[in-house]
Amino acid sequence: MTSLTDFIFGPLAYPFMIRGLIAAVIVGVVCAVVGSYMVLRGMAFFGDALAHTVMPGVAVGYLIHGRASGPLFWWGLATAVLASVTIGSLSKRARIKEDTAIGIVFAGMFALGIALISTVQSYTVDLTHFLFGDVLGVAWSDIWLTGGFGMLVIATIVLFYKEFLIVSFDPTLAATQRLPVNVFYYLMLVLIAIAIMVALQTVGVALMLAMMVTPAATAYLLTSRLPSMMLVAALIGAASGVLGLYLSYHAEMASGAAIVLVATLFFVLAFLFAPRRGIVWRHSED
Amino acid sequence: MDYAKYVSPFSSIQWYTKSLWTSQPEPAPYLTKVLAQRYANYSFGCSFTKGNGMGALDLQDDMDWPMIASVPTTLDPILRVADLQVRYHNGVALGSLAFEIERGERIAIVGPNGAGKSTLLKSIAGLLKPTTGSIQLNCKQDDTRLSIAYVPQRSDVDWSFPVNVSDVVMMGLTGRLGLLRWPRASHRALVARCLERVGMQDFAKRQIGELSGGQQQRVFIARALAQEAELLLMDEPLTGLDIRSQETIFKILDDLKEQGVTVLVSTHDLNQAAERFDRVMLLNKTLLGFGDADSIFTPQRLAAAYGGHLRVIQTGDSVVMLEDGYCGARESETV
Repeated sequence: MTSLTDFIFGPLAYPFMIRGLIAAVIVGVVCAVVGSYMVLRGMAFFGDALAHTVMPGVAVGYLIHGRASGPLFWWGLATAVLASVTIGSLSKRARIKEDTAIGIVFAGMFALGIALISTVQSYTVDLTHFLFGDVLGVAWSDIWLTGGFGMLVIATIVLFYKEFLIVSFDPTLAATQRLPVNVFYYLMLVLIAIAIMVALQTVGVALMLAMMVTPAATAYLLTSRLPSMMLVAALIGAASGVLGLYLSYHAEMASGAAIVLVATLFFVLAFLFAPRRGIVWRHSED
Repeated sequence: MDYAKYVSPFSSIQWYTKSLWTSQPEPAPYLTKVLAQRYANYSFGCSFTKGNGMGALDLQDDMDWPMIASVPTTLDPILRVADLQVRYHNGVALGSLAFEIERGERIAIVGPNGAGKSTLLKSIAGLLKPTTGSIQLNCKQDDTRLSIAYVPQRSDVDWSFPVNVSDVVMMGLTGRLGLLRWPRASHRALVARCLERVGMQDFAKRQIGELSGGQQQRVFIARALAQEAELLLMDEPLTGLDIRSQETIFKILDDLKEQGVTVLVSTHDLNQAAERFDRVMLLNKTLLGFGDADSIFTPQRLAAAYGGHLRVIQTGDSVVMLEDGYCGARESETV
């Protein structure tokens, strides 16, 4: 029994672990709720691209302000919002195919970000933090900031629930009812941008997509209504954050990777054993 | 006659035609001129259903058919389409359409694939912007947008989306509820009533992907009922349904007719179009005929519409139509 108690309470002796756990829960919940719409609307690639596109903004903040996470957040947020709206309008009237256009923009911006950061002498450590996150370096001020923005994102999604639902499920109906489809489209892009910034410090650019898509996809297999899908996704996201951090502490693994691995494990389990939709279930029905 | 303004983004066009129909004080002189050019083929003031854009049609001269099969002057038209043209970047999808539809009518729109059936329905629904022309609705509700319900082709809907049957019907109330309002008990009761009217009350909690094709179609009709739509536009609702489901749908449509709901349905099934609808509209890029089936489904007109894709054999008084694999193949695809 003591070993289990140690397993659970041991890490809590460290304040940085407590801050990390809170941050991981915030990220898990916010990303999963936003990610539910991304999964349903097939925007996974867009989200990944957007996460990478944030790099040059973060890099500029890094060059000006150094490693202080506060200014980095604002620089990144501005870049993310700008980039989401730009990519969004680009993909609406592009002569090249949408995914190609997004790919070009995101690879180019990502390269620019790395180039900027690499002008600093000892850049490798910081670059690693941007790419893979640094959940244990989260300060209380970061928690207030990401928590506040996370609440904003979730409140927006709850307030405009029926509009986002109709715009995602049946844009045609939205148009015949004269809903401002474009306004909600861009609002969704901005929400994704904010969620990316909320998650940046915890999981980093490279693994961001997993936090958005994996818990949502898992919940998609387990539920049949959007509100329950979002709720289950949020729970899985938060659980992945907490369990991943414990895994990282005990197995001495990179925290972002551990969180994503746990989320992926949840998905695999649901993929195999989900009632009615899982592979095992389908086989047993045959 | 007080035509509620069709709430459309194409307000300038609407302005021209409004002044045309409602013999009101003269429009500004330059507008009259524009109108005169635009409607050179029309005699002003006559019913639009007569002088439609048949001038644009290049058919053999010896075909002596009336422009439109005898339509009584419409007394209470719910829809007026004038000079409608829709172009996509790769060409004309619909050219020079003009017609009127009476309140409570049930219309079948027929024509080969690519004839512009969906384009016409989407234009009426306000989803596509016509290049020229106007579409006017004469609805009882002030807010015209709520009066049209559009039921998309089944292949255009994501049936694995996590919504259940009542969620979909509730969506019909979104526009009326307005921003930041949540549905109340009365709205949920309305949804339940609409589901009852299409016989889907037992499926309220089912995810929409678990339904059969006919049931899915009924859910969307229930949503139109929730919208209290006066004009129901359905894009190939009967394609791929078995006979029993089709009969169920027709029963519901009969019920709607009694309440004065006007229904426009695009279909591939010419037989059904002839037997189950008040009038048929034969379409191939342009209007090839609009009237009762007897006068529209003539060998000449059908040949003009379908060309090689439909063989028309005339034996005595009756007309036999054989569709080739073209349409049939597509229908079985969507099953």
